Amino acid sequence: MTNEGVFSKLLAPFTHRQTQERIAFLTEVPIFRGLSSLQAGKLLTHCTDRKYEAGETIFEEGDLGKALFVVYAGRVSIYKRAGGDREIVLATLGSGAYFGELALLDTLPRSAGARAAETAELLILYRTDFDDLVSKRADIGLPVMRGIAQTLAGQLRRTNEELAKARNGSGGEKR
Amino acid sequence: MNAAEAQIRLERWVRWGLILFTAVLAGWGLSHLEQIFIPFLVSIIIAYLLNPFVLALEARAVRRESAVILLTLVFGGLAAALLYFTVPVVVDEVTELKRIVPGRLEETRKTLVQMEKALAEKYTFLEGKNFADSLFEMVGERAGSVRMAAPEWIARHSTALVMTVLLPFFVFFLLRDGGKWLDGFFASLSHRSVETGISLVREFNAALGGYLRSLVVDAAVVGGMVAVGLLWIDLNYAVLIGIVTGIGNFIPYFGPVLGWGIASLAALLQGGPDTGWMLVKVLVVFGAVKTFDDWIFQPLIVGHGAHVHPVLVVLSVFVGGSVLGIIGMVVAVPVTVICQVSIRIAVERSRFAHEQPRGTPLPAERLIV
Repeated sequence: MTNEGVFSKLLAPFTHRQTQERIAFLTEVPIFRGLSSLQAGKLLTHCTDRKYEAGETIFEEGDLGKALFVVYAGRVSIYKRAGGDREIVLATLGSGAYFGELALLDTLPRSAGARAAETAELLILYRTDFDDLVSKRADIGLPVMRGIAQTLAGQLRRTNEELAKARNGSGGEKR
Repeated sequence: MNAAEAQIRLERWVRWGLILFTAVLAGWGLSHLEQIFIPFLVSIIIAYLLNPFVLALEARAVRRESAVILLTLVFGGLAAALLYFTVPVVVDEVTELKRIVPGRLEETRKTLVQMEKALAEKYTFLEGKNFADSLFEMVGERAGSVRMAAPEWIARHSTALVMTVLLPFFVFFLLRDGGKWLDGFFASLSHRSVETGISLVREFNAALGGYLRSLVVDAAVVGGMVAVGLLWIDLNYAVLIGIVTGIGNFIPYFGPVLGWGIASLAALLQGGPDTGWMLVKVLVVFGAVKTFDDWIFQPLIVGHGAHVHPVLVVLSVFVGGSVLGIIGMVVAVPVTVICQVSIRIAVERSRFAHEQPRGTPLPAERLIV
């Protein structure tokens, strides 16, 4: 048995079931999928836990983004303003989904707003903590960075396809 | 100015007024409640030092309460072992010091009296002045008044002594509940302030925690090196001086000077024909320790803690000392770190509010595939 195994066995009587569930949950979130339980546990200690009541605003479009949000429980609506008081709901996210990941990469305003569709519990990873992880714990920071890059690449491909379809539909020039 | 702008301006004035009021109140509290403040400050420092160990256990899904109890037992045991080995040495050195000081003082007095007599034979205007005796009489009176004042001092600082005994309990509760208090603080913030709130707390924590951890490690290394160096040159009270220098190191730049002063005094008390040579050796030990600390250890270890310019460190220590005395000197750098982080975040937010941030422009025909 490795030292780590012996250590984990020694600590087993003191472990907390709720924390174990959270760690297992994090390893199932797409951008954190490459992490081991211990790495996910370390990541969890860098996250802030916050509960939002139904209808409570998490952030608004145009706010300065500083954190990534992971939905642990409940549902969250992502919306965009469409002139006046009108809003378009772009997506409703459930447990295991994440949003606001662009804030870990740039310091631009939020491109959409987020609001709790029902009572929701979120895990928040602040950019300072993420930068700290990337510089000090590359074994955790880099897989997360790769996960975010893969998500963005997938979204970009979908956007390209939709753009091509839209151009085809309107008789535009194919590229 | 419309009503909404006037309302915003009023709110801003009220907010800054409250901040100023809190700062004045905190300053008053610091200067009047130092007996409570110092043990509490020490508890915060110890909790900061131990928190990474608690987090390492929490990362392994250990319940926070259990992690804190485990650490209290482990570090409590280590502290007890350290005290078990160092206290007898320190007690021996203090006893020895108490034993030889009267004799050494008498010797010094006699030497000074002889010197005075020799000078008086040469310069008649010094005859009958008895400077040496007057000086020693004054020292004796001062020592007597210190002895008389000791019970009063203990009575006055009884709160601090009780608080020191309660220190492990403070540390335990700070470690156990610190996270809950923070969660409560975050939950009380509006969505507009929550990210800035988390940002402030995280950055204060990173800067202050880094500073305090590196300060304690640095103090231990400097104190240890001074003790070893002084033992090597056979100076008496080496361990005691090492401990005092380590503790003094909490006040940047002043600690080593204080330690060097005490070590030089110890060299003088040790006496003998090699006193001058011993003074030189003491200077070499402190010079070597300071050089190692400044050029090798601090850039490697402390440099990662908090990035405060040395001029700002000295300036803040002077200002802290003149406002709040010793406490001010100790808290000066942490307060400077907090101010520095606050200003950086305020500038970042102000820049965001006044400038339209730009992304990297892409050529019109650039497609990412």
